[in-house]
Amino acid sequence: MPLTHEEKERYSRQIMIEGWGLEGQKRLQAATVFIAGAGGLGSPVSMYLAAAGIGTLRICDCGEPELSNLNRQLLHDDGRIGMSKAESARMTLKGINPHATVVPLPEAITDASISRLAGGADVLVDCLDSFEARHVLNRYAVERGIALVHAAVQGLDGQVSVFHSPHTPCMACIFPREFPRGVFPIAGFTAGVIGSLQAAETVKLLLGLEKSLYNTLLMWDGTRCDFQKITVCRSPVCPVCGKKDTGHTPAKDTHTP
Amino acid sequence: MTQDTPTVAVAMSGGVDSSLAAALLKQQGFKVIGLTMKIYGGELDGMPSRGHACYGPGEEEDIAITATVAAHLGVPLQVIDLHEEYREHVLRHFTHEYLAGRTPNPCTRCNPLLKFGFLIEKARASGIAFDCFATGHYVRVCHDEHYGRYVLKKARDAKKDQSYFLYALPPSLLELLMFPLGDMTKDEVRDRAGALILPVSRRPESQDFIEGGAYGDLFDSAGISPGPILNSNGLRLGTHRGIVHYTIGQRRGIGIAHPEPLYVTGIDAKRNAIVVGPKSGLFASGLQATGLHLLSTDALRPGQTLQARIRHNHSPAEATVTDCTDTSITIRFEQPQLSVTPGQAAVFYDGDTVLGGAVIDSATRDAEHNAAPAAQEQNHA
Repeated sequence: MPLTHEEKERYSRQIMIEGWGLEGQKRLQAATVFIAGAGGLGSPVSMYLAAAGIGTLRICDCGEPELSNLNRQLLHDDGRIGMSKAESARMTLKGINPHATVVPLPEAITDASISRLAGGADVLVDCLDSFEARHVLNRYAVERGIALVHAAVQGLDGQVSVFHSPHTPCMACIFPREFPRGVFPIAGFTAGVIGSLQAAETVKLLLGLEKSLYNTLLMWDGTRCDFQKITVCRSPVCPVCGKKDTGHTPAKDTHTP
Repeated sequence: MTQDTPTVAVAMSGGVDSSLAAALLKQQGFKVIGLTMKIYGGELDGMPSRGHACYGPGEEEDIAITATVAAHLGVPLQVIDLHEEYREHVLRHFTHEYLAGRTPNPCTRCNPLLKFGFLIEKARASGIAFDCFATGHYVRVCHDEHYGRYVLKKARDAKKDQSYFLYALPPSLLELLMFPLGDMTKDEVRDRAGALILPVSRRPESQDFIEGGAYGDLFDSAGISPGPILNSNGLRLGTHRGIVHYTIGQRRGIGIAHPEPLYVTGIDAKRNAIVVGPKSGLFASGLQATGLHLLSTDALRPGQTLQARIRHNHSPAEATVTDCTDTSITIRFEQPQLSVTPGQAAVFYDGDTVLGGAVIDSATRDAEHNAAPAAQEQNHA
């Protein structure tokens, strides 16, 4: 679909960026992104992606906004308390960019539902707060070979990485266990910093720019305002992405080169 | 082998690369065990130490440094004695090849046979349990849809790529290997090394096989005798010091005054002769190789195009397979290549993927190519 005059004007300042251009903008318009979670991380992620002109945003959350969410979940406001988060997200995102197709998905992410919910997305964005649902998303990403932009936040700390099996480790290579869920401290701007990085990595994946968070976990320590990159490696014995049965009998194995 | 935290054995040498590999794996949360090979068998005792290398009397110091690095990282280190295996499978082969007029590459043998072979085998046999094996090599392993298996790929940073040395790994081993440095750029390596290991080690990874590159010290002087230096017409131009001191493409040290520069274009062990000629005599239109080892594919077939790398620092050249059996292969280059050297490995690529490799037996020389060397110098060391 060609960009209208109005759209060219709307996106003009980002089209100027090297490696973006009109071609890149059209690629974003044709793209579908699945955003798992419409909370603290899902807010900046979906708002920046909608504003950037991603064609279709599938935003999934089975919860409802509560008063204690509003310090960080900027998709929602007082008037939306008790409404579906997915629907509230749709309203906000349409307000940011009427060109975006927003598909609200007020459902839980399970092994049974994920394929239907993700609906052929080009990139999956992990804005979840439960490792159980994260591992569902990860298994799906590995099975389909789709890039998963992971993040997690707590207090003044956060982390981001891009998992794209088989080119990188998967989430289970790095976080094999599920962490306990509960009420944890979180500042709104922590989700803002980390969610903005997720939006940036998502757009870079769609534009084909530098894959800077492949095999890398970026950690932000907000107290010291320090970013640290950790190189991460695929685990050959990972229960999710490890040791695929290759059906290959190594008949040629020999110790003589 | 616990289900939660896999144990990774890392081959450590005390150099920056293998130390960083161990540090990164440890940081990610793996249980890490360091393994270091003891390969020196005393052959060079009494010779002056000429610096840092894989093989030489400096090994004891290297092992001490490795132990310091391992202690700093909190990694238990096991020293595995492989000096007999090294003498048998690397050194003997090396001297034998040189005496046969060939120029072997010891790294393409030491890696698959020693580091990825006996080291793993002996460590396991001595009761050290681990799930995966890692080294500091700049290569990548991943599952590839197209080939339907785990494949070996070039490093992300082409300038650091070491895939040439690993073409002969057993295919079944790939799925258990980890190369933490394979996806890193030079800058990333420098940054991470600075943060994680520099307090203990600034040593570069060994690049030399023998300390000071003094291959001659390995040879029994009885096996080396002076002989004729001939031109391509068989005319004697001078006397050489023993064929083991020469390699194809060599220009310096021939010691003959001649109007145009002379290069070693052939080594004839049977006649104990070195053949020299102008640079045009170094170009080959193809090569024959034996000891074919396939890594990422089950077969190569005549007519197939691929890229062939004929030494470590050679940019892979487009080529077509003209003949292939289970053990040997003949290829023809799209553009003639300089210094195809018998004894060196020819490693075959499909883009970034290592298909396999073989040991060069001979170069194909076409009369037309000898007359008109069109290709550019490919060998930037």
